[in-house]
Amino acid sequence: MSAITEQKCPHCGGAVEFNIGAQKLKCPYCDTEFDIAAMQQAEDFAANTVEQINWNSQNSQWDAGETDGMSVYACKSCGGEIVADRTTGATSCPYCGNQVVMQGQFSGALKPDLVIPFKLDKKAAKEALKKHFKGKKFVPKAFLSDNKLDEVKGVYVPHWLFSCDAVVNATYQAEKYKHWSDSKNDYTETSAYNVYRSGAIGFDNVPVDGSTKMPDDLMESIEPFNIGEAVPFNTAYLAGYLADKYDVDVNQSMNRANERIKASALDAFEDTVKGYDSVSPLQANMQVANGSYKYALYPVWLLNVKWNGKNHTFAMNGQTGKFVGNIPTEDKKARLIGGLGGLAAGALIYIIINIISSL
Amino acid sequence: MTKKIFSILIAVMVCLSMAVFASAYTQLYIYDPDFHLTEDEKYEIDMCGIEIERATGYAVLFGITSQTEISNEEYVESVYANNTDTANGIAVLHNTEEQEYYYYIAGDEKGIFNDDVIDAMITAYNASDSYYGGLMGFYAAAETALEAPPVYNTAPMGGNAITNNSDSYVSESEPIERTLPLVVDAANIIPDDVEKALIARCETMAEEYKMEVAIVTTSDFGGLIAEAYADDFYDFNGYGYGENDDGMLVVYKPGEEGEREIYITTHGNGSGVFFQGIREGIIADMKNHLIAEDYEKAFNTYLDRAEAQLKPGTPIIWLFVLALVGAVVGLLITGSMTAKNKSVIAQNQAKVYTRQGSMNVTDAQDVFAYSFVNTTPKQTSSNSNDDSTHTSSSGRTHNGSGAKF
Repeated sequence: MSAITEQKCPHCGGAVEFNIGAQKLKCPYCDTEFDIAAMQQAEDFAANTVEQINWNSQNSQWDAGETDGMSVYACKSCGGEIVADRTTGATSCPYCGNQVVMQGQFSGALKPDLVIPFKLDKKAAKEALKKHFKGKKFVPKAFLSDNKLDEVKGVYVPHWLFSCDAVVNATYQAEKYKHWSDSKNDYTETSAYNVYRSGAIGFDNVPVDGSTKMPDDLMESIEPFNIGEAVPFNTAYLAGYLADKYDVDVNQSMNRANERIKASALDAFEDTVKGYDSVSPLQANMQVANGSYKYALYPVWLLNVKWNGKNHTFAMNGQTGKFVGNIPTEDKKARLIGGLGGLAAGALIYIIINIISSL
Repeated sequence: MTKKIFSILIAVMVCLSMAVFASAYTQLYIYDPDFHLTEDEKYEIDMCGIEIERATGYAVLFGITSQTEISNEEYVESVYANNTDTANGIAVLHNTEEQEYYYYIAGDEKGIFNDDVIDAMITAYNASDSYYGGLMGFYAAAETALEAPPVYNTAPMGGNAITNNSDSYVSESEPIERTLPLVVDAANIIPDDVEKALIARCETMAEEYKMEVAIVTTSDFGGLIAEAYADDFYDFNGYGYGENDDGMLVVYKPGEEGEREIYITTHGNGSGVFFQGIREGIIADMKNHLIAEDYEKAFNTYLDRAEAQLKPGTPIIWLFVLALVGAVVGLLITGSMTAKNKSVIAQNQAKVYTRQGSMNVTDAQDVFAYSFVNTTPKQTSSNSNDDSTHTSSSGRTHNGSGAKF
């Protein structure tokens, strides 16, 4: 014997009742009728949406003697640890510009699976910085004239790369509207549909920054990197550059990958709900199938610009040249000039109209 | 001989004076072929008619007859036509044989003689046992009606109760001359000195801007809705400047809360100058003054707003609108400039990492759940109506806005 459950009206939230005449469920509050099969289907679908995410990895380990030529340096100021081969050495922290000291031989941590080698050099990074400042408005003049390019460092930034098939079960409420009028009233008929979508969509190498010292939004801003040019890691690629060790492990990074994958997967499925005037998600769940992750080093030029005693960090994708970084902006001045300039322009237009109309 | 000549001179002078006296009676107000009245009584009644015409410009005639040779309608018209040339007036006929009354109205540009007024005059006539007493009552009622605040034309002019050629179309090519002032205070709510000042201002504005801006108050729309009353008042009383009758007219009916009603009608170029937003703005600005019964402020506000709109150049309100729009556009422009300085933005999507061709929809169902109909009553015109263009009873085009409060 099945349990007696109270059914809620999806339109007004009232308790619905079975209407014998119509052989349908009917809401006594808003008179909306429901098909029993449709209601049952909605419930079944809701019950079948348990989120489950699993990831697998086959990370490599360091070979014996592979890290012999690598030293670890620690920043006195921000505490960041960087890795450089002995021929490169390191004198200052690429993140904060302060002095670093060698701590000793590199050891521990996972061996990166992949590395994308630098394609652009320091000169390109410096030119990109100049280009980045060009044409920007409402930047303090003193910043443009007095800023000091303190450090330009090529850093291999650790990233976790997540790949999976996102299995999606989603329910949407979709509505179609029909409008008509007579002499007294305007009418709007709303036809509501329960829309179900199930399926899968694959994602490859979604990157998550594995360094706490590197701001996540800065790294996401210089995406994407072309993973097709990645090669199996070899310490030889570190020559002349610094490398950061991951200090955000894969488990911590998964959440960010899930967020990004889920948002795009659900969007992709919502895009398949067509032919309606409005669509709103009711319930959406994602499970991960065939999830795997890799550990990779991405090439990033970091440029620290000092101005007014503060450090402003700019970053360039060492592979594609995409350059980002927030430039100090005089927001108040911009608002004042925009507002007053617009007021004056409006007044000028008024005067011109008056002069023309009086001719 | 000298005495004889003197006597002849005296006789000539008497004859001349008789002739002059007789000429004074060429305009008789009472027509009595069956001699129901004495000569003295006729003289008294004529004096009443003379006095009324002198004071009001209206001729009021009365005929008493038992004839049936021509129709009563023709008879009463001939009583008026044969005895006076006055443009405005009324002749009433009492057919003693049929005991029926007939009347003929000429002109009546003030719209005095409606059914109620004529009924009151005939009732006064019947109130006395004698013809003389009845006629004195009739003329007293006529005098009262003519001196009372006039009932204005909201019906076609020139018609009369008997031969009513009710062609209600006011031809644009046959304009009616306006005889009423630009301020008509039929509800008697505007102090006289204020009314005079308003009239002077309206006339100056009409000359200066070639646009008649008029004010009408009334205590009754005569069974019409405000829009029809305003349109008809405008059309049938000849308002509007120039060939196109350009102008605007506000009609206000005072009353208790919820019964006050205002309507602004426009015609010709007035519809272009005083468009819907302006009309609604004028009504909004006047409302509080009307509620406070400060009619001087209310109607001067109406004229201020009208004048601001008529003055050469763009109304000052546009300065504020343009400046505000300019400020918003300016902020958007500088906002977009400063936004370019910020290029560090977190990526919340992973679309770029989607595996090509991997999208696989295994189950897609669109199940109808329910439907319902929302019914919204259409807005009525009782609270605030505007309109787009409409046609008045005269067949002319008006625009208007109104409110009840």
